[in-house]
Amino acid sequence: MNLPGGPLSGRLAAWWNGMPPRVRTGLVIVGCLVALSLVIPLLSPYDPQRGTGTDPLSPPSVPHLLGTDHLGRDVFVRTFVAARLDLLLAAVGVSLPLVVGTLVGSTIGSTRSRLVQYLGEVAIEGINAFPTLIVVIALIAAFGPGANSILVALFLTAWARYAKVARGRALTIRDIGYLHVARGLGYRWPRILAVHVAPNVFPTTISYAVSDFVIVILAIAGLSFLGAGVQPPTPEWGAMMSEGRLYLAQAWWLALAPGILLSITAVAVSLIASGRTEDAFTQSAR
Amino acid sequence: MIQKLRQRSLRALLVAWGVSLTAFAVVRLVPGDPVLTLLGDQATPEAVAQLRRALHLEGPLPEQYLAFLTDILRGDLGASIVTRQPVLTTIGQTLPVTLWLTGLGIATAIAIALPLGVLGGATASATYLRAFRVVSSVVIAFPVFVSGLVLLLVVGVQLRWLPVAGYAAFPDNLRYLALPALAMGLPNGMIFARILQQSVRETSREEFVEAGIVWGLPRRELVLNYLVRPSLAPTIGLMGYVVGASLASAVILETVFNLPGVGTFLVRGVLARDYPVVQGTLFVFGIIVVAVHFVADTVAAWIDPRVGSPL
Repeated sequence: MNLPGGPLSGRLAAWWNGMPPRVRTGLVIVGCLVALSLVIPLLSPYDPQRGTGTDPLSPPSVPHLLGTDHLGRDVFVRTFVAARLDLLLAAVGVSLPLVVGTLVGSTIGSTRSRLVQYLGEVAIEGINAFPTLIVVIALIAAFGPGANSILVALFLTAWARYAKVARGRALTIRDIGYLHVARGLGYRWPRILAVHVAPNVFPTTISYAVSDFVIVILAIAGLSFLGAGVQPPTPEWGAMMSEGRLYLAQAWWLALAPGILLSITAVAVSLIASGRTEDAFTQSAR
Repeated sequence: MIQKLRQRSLRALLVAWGVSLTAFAVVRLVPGDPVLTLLGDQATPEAVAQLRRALHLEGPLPEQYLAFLTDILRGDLGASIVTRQPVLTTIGQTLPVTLWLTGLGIATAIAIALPLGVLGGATASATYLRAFRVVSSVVIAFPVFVSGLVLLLVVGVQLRWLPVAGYAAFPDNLRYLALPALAMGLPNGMIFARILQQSVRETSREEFVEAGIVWGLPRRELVLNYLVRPSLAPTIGLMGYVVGASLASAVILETVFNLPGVGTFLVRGVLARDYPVVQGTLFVFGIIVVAVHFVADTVAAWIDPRVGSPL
């Protein structure tokens, strides 16, 4: 095994081997999901939006691996087309608040203005006091159902979670020498924030973003399940489950196929996220 | 103690005020004119004026907020645009369902967490801890509406042990609530178990536990009073968060199991753009969360006086 500093492949191998098994498991599962969601819609002979000519609600069989839905559409291809949408929406839903929340939190944590510190804290704690799903539902009442509304509503609540993490991290570096030096040199605020504070905060918030991905993808699917998000006939896991729920007694695969894929995604991503705390945890156990 | 209590009450009041602001903000965030969105541009001026008054949309913003707040404090949450029923009446009918569900869900979570937490905190087996860590990660990440649907399918539809939809008065309601409460309690139980396990482990290193062993206290007494009781504070402090999360999952689980609770009422209100309903249910949800946070913090401080005071 090559140590860090060797050829790229060696460093990659070292990185891979250095990770706890559950993180590797999670990464493999997510990688497979992404690959399948890209490949299966290309290879499948069926249109995800149109009936295939097979009877509606047929059980899983060889031509239709996960059966057909109430309109005779192929559930297998729809589930994987939906995977693209859900993963994409969740990625967008995580990255916008990640960037904004980190910058806001870094500002609040490293500023010397008491007013900014106080107002920032009140805003962050105030938003975080509510259960995310309930606030997001309320915002959707204002914006109307749809994928865009969900992303905006999620953004309006999620930035505060990142800001809280970022603020905590920024506070720990606020009084380190180089910030004093940067201030003493008369650098302007944006430069101090961008060059000296944010690069030290992003690793922390990015690692938080992995666990936040689970919250976000479950919120997107959950809201669509309630009818407040992505609308049928667009293939999306929550919307498919909502349609399939009505046929649970006759055709359980309609609701469970997207549900199980969603669960696998959520579990795999949270396995990746749980790797961070693993070492401290098992050490304290010994 | 009294001073801490005053501080906590003050913070609770502040957050409650934030709740009212949030509920107030919802209608104001509607792009364009919410009244015209609801009534269309063919509406009569009288209908427009009436709805505008009902939604507190007359006059400048501070005046609107004052009118909104006085009505709420008087217990008047307005009337549903769709059914014309007073929102408070419908909340009064639906809230018991949600509270039953959330209460049973929390009870399930505690029943799962206590044995797992004590076992995990006392064991020295690294294999058990690693297994618990993986299993609990899986259970916590598992979406409640998927586990709810699976339970519904297996226990309700296939085995026919429990009804799949509907509701009845106590004690019959337990048959309708068992599955959603289980779906709600599993992930929260695992969260509780993790925290409890950690704090039992920390407590077990304390000198008073060692002293208890040296004194030769009976095992039961040692475990309950020396190990579990001092370890409960972090778990109870987390109760506020868990109740909030449970109410959020109640919103989804009520739809999965067709329960006539506040969550179903809220979702219907959202989809129909029934703003008084959304405002009212949001306010009530928020106040419940604030109250539970307050009680949980106070109880945590009472159980373990070290909480919130410098050692």
